Amino acid sequence: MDFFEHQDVARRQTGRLVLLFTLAVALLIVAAYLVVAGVIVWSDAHRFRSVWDPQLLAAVGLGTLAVVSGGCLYKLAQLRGGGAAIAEHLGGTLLNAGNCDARGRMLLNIVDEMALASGLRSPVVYLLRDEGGINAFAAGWTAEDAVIGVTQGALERLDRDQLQGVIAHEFSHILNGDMRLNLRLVGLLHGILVLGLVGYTVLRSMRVRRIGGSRKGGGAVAAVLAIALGLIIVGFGGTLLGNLIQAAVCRQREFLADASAVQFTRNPGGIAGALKVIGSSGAGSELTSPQAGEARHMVFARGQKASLASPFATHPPLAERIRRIDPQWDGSFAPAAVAVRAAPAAPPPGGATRTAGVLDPQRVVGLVGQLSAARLAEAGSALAELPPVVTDAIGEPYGARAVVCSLILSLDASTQARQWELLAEAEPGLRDEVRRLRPSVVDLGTRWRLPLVDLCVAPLRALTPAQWEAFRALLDALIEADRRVELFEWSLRRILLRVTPVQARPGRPAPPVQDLRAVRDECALLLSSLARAGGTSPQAAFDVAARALPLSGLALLPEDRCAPERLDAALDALSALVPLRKRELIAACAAGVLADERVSVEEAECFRAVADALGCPVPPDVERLSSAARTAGR
Amino acid sequence: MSTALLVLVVLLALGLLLVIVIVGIYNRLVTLKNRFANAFAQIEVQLKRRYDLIPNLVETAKGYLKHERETLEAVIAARNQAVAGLGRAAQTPTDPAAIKALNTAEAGLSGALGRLFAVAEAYPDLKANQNMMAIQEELTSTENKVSFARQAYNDAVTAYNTYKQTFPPVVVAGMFGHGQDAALLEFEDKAAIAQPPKVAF
Repeated sequence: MDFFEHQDVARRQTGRLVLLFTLAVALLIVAAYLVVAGVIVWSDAHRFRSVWDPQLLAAVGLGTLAVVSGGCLYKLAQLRGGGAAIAEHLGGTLLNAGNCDARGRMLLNIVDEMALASGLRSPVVYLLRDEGGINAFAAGWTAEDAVIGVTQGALERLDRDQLQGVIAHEFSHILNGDMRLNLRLVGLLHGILVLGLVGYTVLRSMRVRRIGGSRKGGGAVAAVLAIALGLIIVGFGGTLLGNLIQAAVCRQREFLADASAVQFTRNPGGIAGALKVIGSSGAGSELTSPQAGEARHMVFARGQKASLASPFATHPPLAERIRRIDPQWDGSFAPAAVAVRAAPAAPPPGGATRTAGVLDPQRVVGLVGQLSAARLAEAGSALAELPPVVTDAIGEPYGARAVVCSLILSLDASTQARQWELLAEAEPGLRDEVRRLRPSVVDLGTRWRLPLVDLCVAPLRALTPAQWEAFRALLDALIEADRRVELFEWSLRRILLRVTPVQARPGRPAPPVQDLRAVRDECALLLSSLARAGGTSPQAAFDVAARALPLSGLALLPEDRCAPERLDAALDALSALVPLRKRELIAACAAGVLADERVSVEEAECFRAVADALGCPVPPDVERLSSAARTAGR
Repeated sequence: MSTALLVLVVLLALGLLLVIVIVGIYNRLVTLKNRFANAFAQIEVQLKRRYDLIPNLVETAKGYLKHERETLEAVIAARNQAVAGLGRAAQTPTDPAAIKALNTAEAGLSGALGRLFAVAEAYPDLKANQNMMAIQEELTSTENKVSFARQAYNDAVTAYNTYKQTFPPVVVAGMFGHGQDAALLEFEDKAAIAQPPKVAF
């Protein structure tokens, strides 16, 4: 299965979730009805006419529905804050190179390596400082507002390989589209859990009233008390049902994430080691935050004590997860002295056919959302070779802004002079920082341009909304200083356009589009823009690309209709396509880019920016394709 | 009987709505408070670096400013006071009194530094000293970072204060221990002090 199929499965799981949830609510209504009817019989048997009382059922049903939907809506409104809201809710603090120790920086480094190797913009990392257990989670609506949360216990007790395994597991959740599913689950579960809460609240308020109250209407009080008790019972049943749903939807995704983590790192010892440490350490993977209950299906390992029977478990038992990764495991959680190293794994996807299938668009599609161990190792050494000035700068927001500005500065002397003026007007301190950093950034060459932007995304998200707005205005001014938007500038702006500061609410995702015909004009515009970006023969490139799409009669648009603003709008519309249609579109784009058997760095950047805008991270392999294609073409 | 039940159900639903709204407000207040407390951690790093630079500065200047002992001692005293103020504020960044004390200490330090730089104008040797120039350069860049982090902190504090004063949070904020407004960090713009004054003709 490739990236798109995994995403598709995750999407379909959402349907299953809604079905299970509806069933659970129906069961809850029946249970509530039985409890209320029981109370009536108990209080006054004469008033009860028959077991079937449609009026009573309607009242109870409406009441239950009101409570459940109220709870869901409240939670979903809160979750609109995205991944950052969840991490903050669980007590996380934003981690950056400036506010953490060496181990914290190691964690940030692991995350950066993985982001670089997968083509994903770096997610923000939250540290749950008060949690001693070993756990982690990924949360967010899309890859843009994704955050990764790691507990203090995980940071302290896992070694680098193990931590890398855990982070790879979380990256797999981001790449496989599990996060949105998990957030929906949190919202729906809250609706079910809230019933028990109501019963509890009523019970308590009754007790308060009883102290100062009279004996008048004692029967009514007793009835209310009984109903409250009933609600608690129903609420408990709801919790059980909720657990069942969590388990039904999440368990397979956990196995998938474990398997992906092994594939990404080619090191089964890492993630298996982490699971073993959880099994052996006293603290386990417990989350102590009172908010942890509703989030436990989305953490790395089962948060609460494993007292419930296994059908209720959101995560497969530790032992089974370890055995699937490491079949030779002897079942002891004692710290393994010898790490399990790299079972002879399958060759990296397409690795063997690197030279043969270079120009096959399907191979490019196969790369989307994948992370190969080879790329990961490369990313690690590439990051290590960055000059320290640059590494320090991209570790925190202040420097990250300067790095992005350095990338934009034009080579043309008069434009550059204008840009320096703009910088000085906006913030003299920033200008000095850019002046300091620019030589090192320029030395890195064009190949590093977009990866650097991706790495800057996480620190930039730490800006406050006001600071972010000011910075974006400055960027726009810098880009338009020469009155024209170059391809790279467009790509860069396209990526930064979708940066969501953690303190701002992420935009509401558009409703999914099932049919390519609904976005026909947008497809034509996108393929035309890419064909024109490619250079030599736009018509030929466009024809190749258009043939790859199941749409007939697409025509190459004239240059003046391919303005950047129009392309931005088109990409926004196209990003709502369902995963399997996105695959067709990406394949068509790749076919167009590869049509002339030459891929420039700009073209590859543009392709990656387009794919990124569609929510499909493309690993840096595409740039290798470009160099390989050039050698092949010679 | 069924009307009584209906009334009960409606009451329950209304009560629930109220609980949900209040819990929501409480959670939001806590989130916003945590945010500005975390923002303070960022500014703390930069301020510490700034305070660490000052003894070096004084040490370098000492060799040249033999007759300005008082000015130098005033800088060190103000610096120590600011370090103490920062320590207190870092422990309780949500306490407005601690932040205000830090504001005062910072103002004292700025004044003392300003006087030192004014005196140094008369000593061209000192101004030309490589070490002095490097420290001054680093002070300026640290101060830029301080002002950036301060902006983020003040944004977060403003978001908290504003939310607290809107309706309905204004009704319940006091009950949950969010009665006091958080204090802004108000330092002077020290970048201007570190550079010699510009003379316009």
